[in-house]
Amino acid sequence: MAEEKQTEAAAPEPQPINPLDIKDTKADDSALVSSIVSTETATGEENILGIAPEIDQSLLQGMEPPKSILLLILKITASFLVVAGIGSFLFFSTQLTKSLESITNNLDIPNVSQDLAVTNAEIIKLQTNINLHRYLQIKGYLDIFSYSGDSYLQNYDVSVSQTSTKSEKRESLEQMTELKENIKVAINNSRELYIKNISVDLTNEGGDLETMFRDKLTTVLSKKAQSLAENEETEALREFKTYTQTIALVNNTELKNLIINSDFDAMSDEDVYVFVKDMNSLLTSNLTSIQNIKEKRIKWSDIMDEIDLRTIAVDGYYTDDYYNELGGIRYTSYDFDSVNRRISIVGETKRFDTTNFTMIANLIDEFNDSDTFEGADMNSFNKSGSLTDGYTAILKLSLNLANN
Amino acid sequence: MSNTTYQILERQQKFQTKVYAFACLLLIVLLGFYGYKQWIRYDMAKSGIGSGEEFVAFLSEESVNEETNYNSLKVEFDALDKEINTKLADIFPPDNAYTELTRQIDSYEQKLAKRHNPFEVSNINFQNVVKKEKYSVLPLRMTIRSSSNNFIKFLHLIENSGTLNGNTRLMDISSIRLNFEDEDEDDGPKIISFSVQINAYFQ
Repeated sequence: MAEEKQTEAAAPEPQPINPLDIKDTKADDSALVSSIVSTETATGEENILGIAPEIDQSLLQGMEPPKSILLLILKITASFLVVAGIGSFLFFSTQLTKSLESITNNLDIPNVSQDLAVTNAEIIKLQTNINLHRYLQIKGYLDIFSYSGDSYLQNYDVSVSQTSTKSEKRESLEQMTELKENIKVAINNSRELYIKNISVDLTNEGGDLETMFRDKLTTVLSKKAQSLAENEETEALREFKTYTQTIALVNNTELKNLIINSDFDAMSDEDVYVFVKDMNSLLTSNLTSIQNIKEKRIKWSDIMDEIDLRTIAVDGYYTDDYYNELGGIRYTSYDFDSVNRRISIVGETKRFDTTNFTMIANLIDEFNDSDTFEGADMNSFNKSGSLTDGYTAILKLSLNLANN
Repeated sequence: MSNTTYQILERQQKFQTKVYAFACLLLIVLLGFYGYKQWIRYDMAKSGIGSGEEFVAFLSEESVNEETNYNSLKVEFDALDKEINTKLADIFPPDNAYTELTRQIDSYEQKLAKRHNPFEVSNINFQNVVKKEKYSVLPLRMTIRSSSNNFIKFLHLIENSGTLNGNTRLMDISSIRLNFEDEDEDDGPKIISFSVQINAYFQ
């Protein structure tokens, strides 16, 4: 027994699991306590509290974790959100789209989107009707303008013409004053109508509203014109022309800008003349076709007057009919060509001092100095005669009308 | 075994909580976004209808006013239009109207011609019509013997033709070939013989 105790004592001390079981060798324990502990530990394997009790797993059978209040709240919230989502989708679908149109119509539920579309359509219709009557008024005022403008141009031409008499010029100036007033009234009235907006704002309608309203107006005018197209009566033809010419006005923004930006009160007679011509170049009517033809017309009376003036500068007695007595220049034929803007003059010069060629050369230079002509030319110079009877030289001049 | 089931249930509950929480959050965000966007449209449409109805009332009044304005002016416009059309029938007729033009030339000749101030149209030759884009042209050639004064008057007539104030057919001179006749011994007027190519226009 003593040997066993010695053997056990000699056996290495088991390593404690619990840190509290670690012996503090440096502690000042009593020998008795050390002995009891060593004896009890050495003598048996059993624990002080006995064997640990086993959990009865069968007790947990059928048990569930307690219900989570949070989960419940979340489930209710999710359900509510789903219902709200479906509700709002249905609501907005019935109000803003046509997808449920058959249901809403049967149940007589108003559709805000459709109501708005109806309101917008009514606005478009009314504004188009306003635009229609405004543009028909503009067309009427522009007819007054064209009528007065035509006479104004005519009178202005007379007032500045070299061949007009003083009384003709005076009369023209008087008429111009009256016509200018008519033109002013027509332009001012047109401007007042032009500056009003052709379009209005529409809720939920994007894009270019001005173009849309312009197209609507064009469509209305086209329909009105179309309804009269087959009618041969004079009144119907006149109305048809009015509508088709008004269509041209609707899309003529250049004309609109010219009228809006013009300051008629500040215009001189010449400015009005240029303004009327500018307007005519932008307008479309029979009157403007006439005006365009007149624009290209050459005033041959002024050209002849200029020839006379240039000739007088070389031959001081040209108009006094002293050709046989004093000599000078005499024309026998003119050939005016409007298409090629070319003039051929045939005549003769008579001198008693042999300087016929100088006179012709002076005449050529005189024509070339004129703003009306250019390219005066004569290549061959011939003369015959004597100092007693005078020398006669043939004159064959070709010249062009200057581009201005 | 029972302990494991319990733990599984417990874990399932926790997982469900997370899923529902996430779903709620997602639904709130989606519903909020959708609802906000649609509400703006709805509200805009609603207010659009309200203001639109007021605007329609305003435009109705404006439309009536504009139509009344036009109808009151239409009488004046129509009268001017008729006057223009009547004058256009003379100066820019719908067809070549060469017979009317012939009468006009004859009438003018009669007006100018005087014993000591001649103006004699000896020949009128109408040529083929030329069609242009916006109008047509009737070319004609005339041979005339005239005093110098009447020649200038004739040029003025052509140069000022086609005005609404007059009733002379719209014309222009394409070419003139003129010869000055030898003057008579007495103090008669300077006589010019000329051949003139004229374009007379029509619609």
